[in-house]
Amino acid sequence: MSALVVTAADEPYAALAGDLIASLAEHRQTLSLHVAVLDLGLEAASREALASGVDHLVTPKWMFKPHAKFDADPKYLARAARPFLPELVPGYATYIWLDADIWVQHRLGLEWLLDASRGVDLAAVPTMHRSYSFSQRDMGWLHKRYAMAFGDALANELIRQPYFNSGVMAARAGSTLWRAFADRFQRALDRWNGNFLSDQAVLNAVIAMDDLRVNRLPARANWLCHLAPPLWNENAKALVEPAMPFDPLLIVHNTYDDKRKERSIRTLTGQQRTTQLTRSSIQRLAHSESQ
Amino acid sequence: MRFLVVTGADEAYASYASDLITSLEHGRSLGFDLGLLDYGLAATTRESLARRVSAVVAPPWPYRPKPPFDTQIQSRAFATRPFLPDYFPGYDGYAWIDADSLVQDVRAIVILKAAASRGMAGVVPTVDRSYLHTESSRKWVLERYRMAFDEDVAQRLMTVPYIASGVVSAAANSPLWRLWRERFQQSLEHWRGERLCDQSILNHVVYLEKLPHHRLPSFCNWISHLAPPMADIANGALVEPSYPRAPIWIVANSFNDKDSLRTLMRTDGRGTIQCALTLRSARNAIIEARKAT
Repeated sequence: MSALVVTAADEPYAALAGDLIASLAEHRQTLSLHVAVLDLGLEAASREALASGVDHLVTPKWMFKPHAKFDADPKYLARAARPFLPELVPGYATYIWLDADIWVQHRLGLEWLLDASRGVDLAAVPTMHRSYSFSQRDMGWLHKRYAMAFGDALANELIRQPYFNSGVMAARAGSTLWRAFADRFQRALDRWNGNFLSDQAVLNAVIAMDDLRVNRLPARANWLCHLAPPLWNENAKALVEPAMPFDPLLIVHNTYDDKRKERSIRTLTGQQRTTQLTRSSIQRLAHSESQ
Repeated sequence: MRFLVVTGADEAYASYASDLITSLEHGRSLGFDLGLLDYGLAATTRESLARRVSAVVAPPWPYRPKPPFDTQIQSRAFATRPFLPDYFPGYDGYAWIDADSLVQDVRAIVILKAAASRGMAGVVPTVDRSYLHTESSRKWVLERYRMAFDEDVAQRLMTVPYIASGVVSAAANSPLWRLWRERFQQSLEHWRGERLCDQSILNHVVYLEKLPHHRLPSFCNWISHLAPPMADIANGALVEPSYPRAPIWIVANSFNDKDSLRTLMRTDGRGTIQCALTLRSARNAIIEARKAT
């Protein structure tokens, strides 16, 4: 049985999802990967364009009990649908979730996710790297999400644990993750105190409290660019970690609020390049330097 | 680039230093020399180790008199690290590796050397997805900051990842050496506590004095008590306990009792091995496990 990569997009994220799907294309046959997109409000043209590059295009429905605040707005489904991937698109042995603002730079990232999900409940990436720097704003952001889901007392405990970013994760279809994730999500929804949803807060609570067996992957399998902008290796034409030995990033997560903003990134030889951190822009940069 | 790797030992640590030197010897073709600081070796031990390194120096207490530290072997070991270019002049770069460390992969020396070029330093923050920082380990760090600095500085340093000083490299012309020495002397003037700690000072220099530095990966100084390595029997190595279980380049035997047997999980799922985190013990346990397999 093969594996399924799932992402989700509404219209503003359609181009990013297209970039992600393009970054998967060359690995799909080798790794027996199928791809699904959850349609959270795509226009007809985008839907058609994305459908041609994937195996499934699914319009998910709210899977929890009715919720006064969240169940009517499709944008919340990107977060609320994640515990239900094997139900939304059944028939695969392994499910990999990748946020639409992610792209795969190196096949090894996918190989790790597939391999690491065997024999455990979850393969995911803790937000931990010697280059990452966390501002008060970052920590406040995190605490707020925990508090919305679980209240201040539990938030104060959870914030002391290493934080997993839910933008990249993999689990077997039969993993206990899905049930634990859905159950804890429902319990959190029943007392949710905030105006937006955070699946990450719930996922981290599940990891901390439900005794899951988790394989923790290195940061370069889900590089959070806003915590440490990558460097540009001019020779390899690739984004790399901003610390020795400058290992190549495997999966790049464009975590800036403004995904399309031009960023100034340093090269390994100390020069500057200006580029968006989308796959298309990085490919253009690589192409221009190959001329 | 002339590069020197230095360690130090008294008689109690001589066998660890010998192991460390053994672990470095097969990488000598990479082009580095070895130096040894003698903190109180017996004459025969000193003679035997001296044959295997380029130079041996017995450093005196390097600061203004400071009882009781200036007569303690352990304190002298901490206090003398900022003086490597003075003890062993003529090199372009230096690395310090604690005697209770084991170099499993000499690529560690390559990266330490690279980090110590162009006036830079290489340090290893204790950041890894496998490490378990407990209340007790955080308290240990805070206590050491409080010994050297006032409460405000101690609390500021607690907000950044702690750098262990067991593996450090720097160019001869890095500001590290001067800053480390000066801050050490200043801190000694008002030291609070019964033991010395060079790590507190190093962290101050790196983070609060903006030392130009490279942050090296945790596998360049694996703090074993924060996350015991796993044993990769097929490849004959101690490896990181988190996926993908990459080889550890330098293993720091950071347990208080260096010779106690530890139970290490095998990567092949066939149970555990028991060994101390010393070169001989780990190597023997892996060989025995391989025979049994």
